[in-house]
Amino acid sequence: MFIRIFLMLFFISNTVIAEECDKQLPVILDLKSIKDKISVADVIFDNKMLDMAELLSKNNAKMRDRANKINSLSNLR
Amino acid sequence: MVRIIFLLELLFCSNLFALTQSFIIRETSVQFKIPEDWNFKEHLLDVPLTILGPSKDGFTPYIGIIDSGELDKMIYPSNIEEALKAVGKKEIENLVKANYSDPQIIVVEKNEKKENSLLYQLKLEYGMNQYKYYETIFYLYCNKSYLNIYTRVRSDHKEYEDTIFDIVDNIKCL
Repeated sequence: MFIRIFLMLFFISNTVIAEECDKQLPVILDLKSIKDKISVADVIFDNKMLDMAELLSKNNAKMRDRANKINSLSNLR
Repeated sequence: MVRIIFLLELLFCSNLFALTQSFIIRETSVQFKIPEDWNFKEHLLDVPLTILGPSKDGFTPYIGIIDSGELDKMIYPSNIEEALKAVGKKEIENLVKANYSDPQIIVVEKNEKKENSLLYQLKLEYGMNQYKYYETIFYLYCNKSYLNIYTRVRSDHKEYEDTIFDIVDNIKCL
């Protein structure tokens, strides 16, 4: 009798836990996808930062070259 | 009579020493005050706006202004300081590759003087031939777009740096 009651309670509690897990699972999965999205965004941001550094550095190199050319011209005068 | 003319000259002296000029760079309208002995050229050597100081000893103080390409789409004012540190590192690499001697980043900072626009500056120094050069590159956030203002002086004519900073400080976004 005692074993029957125990098994019944065990199955009921399992069912309740399983139902609760089912409810929580999408939330957990959703959090994981947000975390994944954040790390992907970090990578994109880092790459963009490097692209931007490259671009601005090219701009500065171009200006440095122009400043050198103008100096060469004033040396010729 | 001479006194009156002298007083009138004093009254209008600021207009005599500076020329106020407006330009459109890409889609950004800006206004500059350019000292009388300095001059400007549009589209000189493929640069939208160049402001040149008086030439001395084979050196011409230089200000070149271009738009920063896609910069305004890539970053926002909140992270530009971090971005400029990355630019500084890249600059040092490139200067070493181009055989400039002893390149160094002096500072990356926000210029607090600007009221209606954000101005950041990256200062570099390096050697070339027997001279040291000081570059200050300003990034001006003006009407949702960045302007890249490249300036350079040479060690034997560092006195032009103050004039250059005055020109940049007086830029108005229209």
